[in-house]
Amino acid sequence: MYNEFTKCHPFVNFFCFLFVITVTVFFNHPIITAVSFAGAMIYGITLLGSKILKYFFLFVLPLCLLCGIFNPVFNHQGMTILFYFQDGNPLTMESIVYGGVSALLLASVLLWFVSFNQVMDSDKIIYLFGRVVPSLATVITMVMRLVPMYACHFKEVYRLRALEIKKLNIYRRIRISLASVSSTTTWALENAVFTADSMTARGYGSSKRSFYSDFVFTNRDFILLSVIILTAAVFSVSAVMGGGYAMYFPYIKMGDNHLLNMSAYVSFGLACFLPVFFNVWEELKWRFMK
Amino acid sequence: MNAKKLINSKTAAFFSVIFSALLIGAGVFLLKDRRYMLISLGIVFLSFVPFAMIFEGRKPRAREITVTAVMIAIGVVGRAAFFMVPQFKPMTAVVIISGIALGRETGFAVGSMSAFVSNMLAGQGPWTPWQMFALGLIGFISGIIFTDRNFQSKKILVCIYGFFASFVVYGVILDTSSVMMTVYEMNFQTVLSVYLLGIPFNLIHGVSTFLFLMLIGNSMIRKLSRIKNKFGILLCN
Repeated sequence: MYNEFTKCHPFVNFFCFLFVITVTVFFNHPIITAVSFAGAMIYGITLLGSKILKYFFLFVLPLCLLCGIFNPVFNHQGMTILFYFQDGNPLTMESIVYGGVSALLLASVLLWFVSFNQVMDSDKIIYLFGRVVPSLATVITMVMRLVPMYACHFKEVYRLRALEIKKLNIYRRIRISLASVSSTTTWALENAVFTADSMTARGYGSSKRSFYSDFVFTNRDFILLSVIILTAAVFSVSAVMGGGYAMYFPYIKMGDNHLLNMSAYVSFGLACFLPVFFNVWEELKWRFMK
Repeated sequence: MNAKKLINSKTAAFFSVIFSALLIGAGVFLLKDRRYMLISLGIVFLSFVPFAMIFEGRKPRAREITVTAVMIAIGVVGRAAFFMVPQFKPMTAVVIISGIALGRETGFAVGSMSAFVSNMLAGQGPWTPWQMFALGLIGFISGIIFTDRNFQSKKILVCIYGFFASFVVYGVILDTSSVMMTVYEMNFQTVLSVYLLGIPFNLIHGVSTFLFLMLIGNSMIRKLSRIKNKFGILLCN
């Protein structure tokens, strides 16, 4: 499937993730958490395919099980007592439910961040924060270029030093590595000063810094951003008025205003599935136009 | 110059404390559930803002920027090089060395930015703000406690500081974040058991920082001092 959402303007990507992840972290209503989990899982599958399942079963699931067990064992609040542990503390139904919901919440957040890492590459992050913190953004840009350069330089030095030695055992390998690290560091620091002088010579700091970017804010970005802002607004209003509210201790109580709840679920669900909907829409458009 | 920077740094700390206090107050009275999470995330962000403002506000010269970038890149490469061994990373050691040699503000910048950039490669997650905060704090504190003058005589102290910084400061901050993410009530039992679960990882991290500081501390500090003397770089703190 095409991943057109990845090619959208960074503002669209960022605000979508910001809204979805913030709500996921701070709302522990079971339906909101379930919607978020479904959205994260489906979008993750469209982005990464079966790799996300591997990540889910090997990393996310054990953590969530730990969280699901942890809650009822250590939290003894709640009215519905199922039985007593040997040390006299009760096991309550509320803490089991809460453990389940927070395990699902943890899984959704971790899965959303998988998609976040796929969609928000360094270019987009620097584009977003470059205007707010220009010096730090310059630092990040430089680091992204320096990291592969140092790895490359280190390998070069290491290979050259290894040539002199006939038999390489582990002790000698470590010694050569350390010497190569040392020489790479010296080279890196001297290089930094030359880079800085070159930057000054070319006028760094003489006026406001401008950034190169090839992101264009098109009509579809405008539409997507308006949808995100609209859903966020609807969700905020209904959440402030009590929609999507859940309380677990001492007894389970959820917001009972049907209209408010529904508007919270629908607006949040729309934002969660927005990337997937958009990808499907673009795919269909492409098929029909062909 | 020096006095002015001191005021800047102190004012920043003052404002973050004030705003954090306000935030805690608001959180305790207004919110019921998940308040720890909101408050602590707020504190983490509030502590960044003044430091980012200092870094931006003093209009860092090109040399400051490049040297900071080099230290961050070394930390990130170090973390990437040891990707096979969990928690056994030289990044914290590099952050401490930068804090000592380049001053506390640069130490904070190097710490938080190396956490951020290395997560760009390793994957961002809900842990990113806490890692940035913890490493930034470690760099900042090391810049307050130590100077790079006759480092050789204080080396063992720095190594011990490195162990405790990664075992206690980093470990407690990261483990507290996982407590807040998962449990309802932060009571003594839950917090203690999460800390106990975290001890093996934090121990490896602490020991690795100790070893890396032993191994590369001296030569790194010497290289940085040499660069500062040779090219007359004055990172004002």
